[in-house]
Amino acid sequence: MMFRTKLLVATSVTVAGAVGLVSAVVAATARTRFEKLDETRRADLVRQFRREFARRGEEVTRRVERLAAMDAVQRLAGELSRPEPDYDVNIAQSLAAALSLDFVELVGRDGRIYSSAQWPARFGYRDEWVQRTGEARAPGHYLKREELPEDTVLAVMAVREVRLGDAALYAAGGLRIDREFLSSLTLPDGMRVLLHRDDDAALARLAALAERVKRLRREASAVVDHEVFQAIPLAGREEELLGVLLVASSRREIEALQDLILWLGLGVGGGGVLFGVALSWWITARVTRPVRRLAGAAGEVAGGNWNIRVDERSGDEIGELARAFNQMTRHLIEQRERLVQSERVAAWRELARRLAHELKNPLFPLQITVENMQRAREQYPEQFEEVFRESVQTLLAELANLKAIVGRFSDFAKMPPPERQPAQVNDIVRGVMKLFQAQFAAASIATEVDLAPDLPAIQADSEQLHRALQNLVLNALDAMPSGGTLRIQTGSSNHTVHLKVADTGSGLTKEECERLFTPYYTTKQHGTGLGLAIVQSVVSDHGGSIAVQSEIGKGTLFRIDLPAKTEN
Amino acid sequence: MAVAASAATRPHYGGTLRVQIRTRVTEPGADDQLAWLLCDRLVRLDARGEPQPALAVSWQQEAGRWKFRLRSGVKFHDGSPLTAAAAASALESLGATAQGESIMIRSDRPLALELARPRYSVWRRAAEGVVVGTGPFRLTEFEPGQRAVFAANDEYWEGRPYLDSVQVEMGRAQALDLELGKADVIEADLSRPLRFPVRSGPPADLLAIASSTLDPRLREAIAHTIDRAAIHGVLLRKQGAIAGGLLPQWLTGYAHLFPPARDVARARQRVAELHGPPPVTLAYDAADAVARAVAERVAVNAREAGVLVRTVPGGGAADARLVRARITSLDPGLALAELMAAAGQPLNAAPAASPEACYLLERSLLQDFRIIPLVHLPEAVGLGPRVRNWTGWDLAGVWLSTP
Amino acid sequence: MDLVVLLALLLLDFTGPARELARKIAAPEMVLSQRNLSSLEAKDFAEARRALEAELRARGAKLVEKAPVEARVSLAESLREYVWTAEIRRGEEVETAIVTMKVPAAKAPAPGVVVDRKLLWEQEQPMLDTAMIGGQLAVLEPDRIVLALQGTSGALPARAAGRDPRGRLVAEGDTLVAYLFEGVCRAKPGGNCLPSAEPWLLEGGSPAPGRNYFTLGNAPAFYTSAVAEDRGRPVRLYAGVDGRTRLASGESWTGWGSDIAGVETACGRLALATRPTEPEAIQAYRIVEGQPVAAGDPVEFAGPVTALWSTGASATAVARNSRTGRYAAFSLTVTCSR
Repeated sequence: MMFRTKLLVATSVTVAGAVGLVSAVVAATARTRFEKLDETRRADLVRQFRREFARRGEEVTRRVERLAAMDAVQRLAGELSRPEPDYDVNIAQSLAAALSLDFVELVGRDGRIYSSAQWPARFGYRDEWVQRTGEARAPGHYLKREELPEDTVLAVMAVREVRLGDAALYAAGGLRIDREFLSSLTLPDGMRVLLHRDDDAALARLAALAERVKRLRREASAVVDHEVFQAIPLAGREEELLGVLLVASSRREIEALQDLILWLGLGVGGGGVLFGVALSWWITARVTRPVRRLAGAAGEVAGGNWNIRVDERSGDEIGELARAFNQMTRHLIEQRERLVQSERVAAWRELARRLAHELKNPLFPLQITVENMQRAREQYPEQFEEVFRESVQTLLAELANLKAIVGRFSDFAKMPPPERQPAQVNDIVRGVMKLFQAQFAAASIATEVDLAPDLPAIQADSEQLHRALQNLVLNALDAMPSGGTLRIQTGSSNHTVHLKVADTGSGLTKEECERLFTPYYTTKQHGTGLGLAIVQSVVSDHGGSIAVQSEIGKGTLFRIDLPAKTEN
Repeated sequence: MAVAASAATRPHYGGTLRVQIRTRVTEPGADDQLAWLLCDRLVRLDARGEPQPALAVSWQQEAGRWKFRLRSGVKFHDGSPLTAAAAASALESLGATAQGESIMIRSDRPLALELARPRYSVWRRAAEGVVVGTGPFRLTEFEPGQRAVFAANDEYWEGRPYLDSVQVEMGRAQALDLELGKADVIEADLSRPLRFPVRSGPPADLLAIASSTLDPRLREAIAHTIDRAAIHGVLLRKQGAIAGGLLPQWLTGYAHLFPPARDVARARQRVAELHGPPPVTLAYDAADAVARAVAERVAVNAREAGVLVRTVPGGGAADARLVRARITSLDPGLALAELMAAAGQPLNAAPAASPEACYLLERSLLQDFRIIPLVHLPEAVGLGPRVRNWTGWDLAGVWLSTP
Repeated sequence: MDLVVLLALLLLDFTGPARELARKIAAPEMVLSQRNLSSLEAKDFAEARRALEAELRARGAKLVEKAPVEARVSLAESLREYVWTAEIRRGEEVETAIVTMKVPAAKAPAPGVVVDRKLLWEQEQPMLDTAMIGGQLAVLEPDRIVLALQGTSGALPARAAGRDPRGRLVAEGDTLVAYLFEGVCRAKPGGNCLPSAEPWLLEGGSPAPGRNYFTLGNAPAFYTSAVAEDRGRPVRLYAGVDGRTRLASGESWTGWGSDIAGVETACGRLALATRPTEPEAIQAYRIVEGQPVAAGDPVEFAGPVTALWSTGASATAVARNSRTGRYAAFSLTVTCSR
């Protein structure tokens, strides 16, 4: 990772982390505060509900007391004590209207409804609640679930006994606890109050909460659609659960605040990061430019351009580094020049040695022959003629030999550029193998030729390739003086045609392998050391490559890769 | 009728009787209360239901032919004399023909009874298109469906009525008006107590649930849940009679053979067969307070068997309908046909002739619960404190006491 | 009266319908239950029950406590008929038989006589007044005078007109004087009533023709007048058409009916007055310092009192029985024990 990237990451992480931490702390504090406030507001509202409920209850109690004292009700009590009472079954409706009560029921001691304002048709059926409440002489007001023809509602009810001599009935009256009642509460902003009823589809999403309250019979709360609902169980006179009061406060405000904090955090964090980027950019620009220049220069040096120089004006560590670098390249150049000179000297020495060696061999017979002719002329003039003829032949042969040696050196020096034509590597291999057929037999060398049948053609100078392969085969013959196996294999892959030549000869050391293609290097007692250098020269002239792999005692494998002929 | 007398005070001549009726009459002389004031019929029925002479002084029946001899000297309100031809044309629907001073009608049924019904009132249209009758009152003002004003017919063949005039307000019957003295006679709502006397005739209106489309098991279940005793005893304050059959006991004498049975267990069984019965809508006449109270009670009763009955006012589409059918004929066979037609399930057979045939027909009608009788209601009127000698809607004998 | 009741019962003959019903329901062995749903009284129903049982036995039916055939017979009543219904249960099967019989014209006896009032006569026809002449009861009807027991009658010069005809019948020696709103006539018992020019002075006013009240100068019209006693002095009372009862001296009150009559008693002259509320009744009053004071219990009637006239020591009242529609004339005497 580059220094700049590191610096950038470090700056960003530090800025973002700091901003995030601050945001989280602020948000958490805000939420806690808000929730505490919210809880207080909800509790206030519940208190308000209870107060209002109690107020209405007292009102109901008062009105029911008036109801019980009404002449019409007293008369009815008397009438109902008769065996076949004659009364108006709708009397409760008029009484309800007169007293502004939503519910009025006149119930006998046996619980039978005589008249009902809320459900007039239900006379004769029993209302056990009123009966029990009446029997218990419970003076207060109570929450009651009141069944109506179409639905069930909650009511605050009171019951009074009406007595007239022996006759008695229970007068029950009440007011509805419904939306209208709830709307009389003063609601702070963002809060609302609901009564949960099982059949209310609009409140279906709160069913689970209501169910929980009913099961546990105590308060519970839940968040539903951005609102915190606190559910309070509402119980009747006999502690039976009748309904659930839901006090809801909107979380939108705190959510908006949290969003604000989040966005603010993101904004600050983002700005910090951007600033960090700019800062680190500037810093890295200041710090890394010389280093990069230095690195670039080092790359140049690695690429062979040793003449590169870096700016070493800076007085700091970077300047020192630059000076060291410049010194190093200067040293490198000096060393290289020294090395080139010494290599050149070595090459010349080697060449001189080779040449001396090559030329020494034919020169020695020449000297012997000439000395023989001299001696024969002096000692055996009769035989001189014969000796002369023989000697001339020998001289000619050796001279030809010398000429060939010189020719070879000269050939290497002026190897022509290849004349490329479409060529088949397999054909070339077959040609070479045919040429050496007799020598393989003489040297008891077995051959294994494995030619790929669909080898693509290559653009090559067949004659040069022929010579290169000839050199490799000669090399292999040389490596297997006491026989062995020569394997030649062709193949192709990825627009490349390859040729492998392997022998089972004595093998090469690692050091020998490295120098193998150096001109005039040879491991043999005779030979110019040009064979493999020529091979390499041909291969590289064809845009290919050659590699060697060898192990002492097991043999050597040469592999040549040549680009296949492309369409164009 | 010749001597009309009442609560120990002699009849007092004069005054205007203010009447409120629920019906909105569009044509006086049609089958309604106003026909009684305006017109006479050939015969009238006495308290025992026996035909007595009215416009006809005598009648005889031989070989499927009825002959009614007309009273002489009777005049229509426009002064024209009542002739046999005029009376016959008024009874055209019965195929009446005039023959001298008599009217001939072919019928095998007890026709004298039928002719006492208001629908066989004798009236004719005067030159201006005004309906004129021979009755105790003549029409002086008429706003169709709103109000009608009648004046005493000084020339009435049975003596001038006591009242000078009668004002009829239609489409409203307010107990409050009666109590405040703004009306003298109102059609009474039986479900509410009146502080003034209520006079009722025999229970001639059948309140029943009619339904042809509902599942038969559901119909049966509803029928078995209905608590007629409560409807009669409490809602109707014991007015009228519990109906197990379609025709009332006073008319047939056999209605006790149809005892109304409440059997909630059986109803539940029927409901259980239905595997969750659908809700049922029960329509009732929104203008009829009794019908509404009864419909709501039926709904409450049906809940006992787990049937949800929703009551709907008015005449829209409904599964069942609470009908109020009036019996005007005193012939049980005709009355049954009349009743079923009014309930929207007209019979396509000839009216039953014998009591047994009538009974069997009624039994077969009740069997599949397409019509479930509830109660027979009397036609009841609330009378103000001034009204004396109320005997029915002809008002000829009614008089007003001085305040 | 007994005669009337007897006649009515004679008309109720259950034999024929019982035979018909027996024909429809008879079985060799049967359980019979009978109930009365009609307005028949117990003894009449017992007769019907006996008639049916007799007819069933005549058909060879054995009435037992337990048998496979069970007949539930009800005797009910429709508007014009008695309806005998029988539900015959043969195992699971139930058959119904219905037999009807006409309700006789008079189906119930008239109310009995009560203390302080004595029934004089009862009949179908309306009665305006009665009078005793030569030991016989003469009845004034709207169009004739009838000698009740003999049945002989004499016609009036004209039928009492109007919807509420009124009249008085007074015996003067062997002559009957009929005071009608249309005029006065005189008749010998059984003979026609001959018009007479004398005025109606009995009530202290003149009858209004075609109506049912009297007029007296500018004073308010009245239905009847009567003479009573106030602290020993005679006072005349008028039952006004406006519902007020007035004294000649000017005092007035309401609450009395339209028919009043003065009656001599041991305690002085009292006033009888009809009661304007139901049930129909006549109440005796003392007049004390110009105000009425009720004396004793009212006498109730089974229908409206259509006439109340003073005969001096007693009064004659005609009442119409609302149930039977028959008219009954009563003699009202007021006994006063100090």
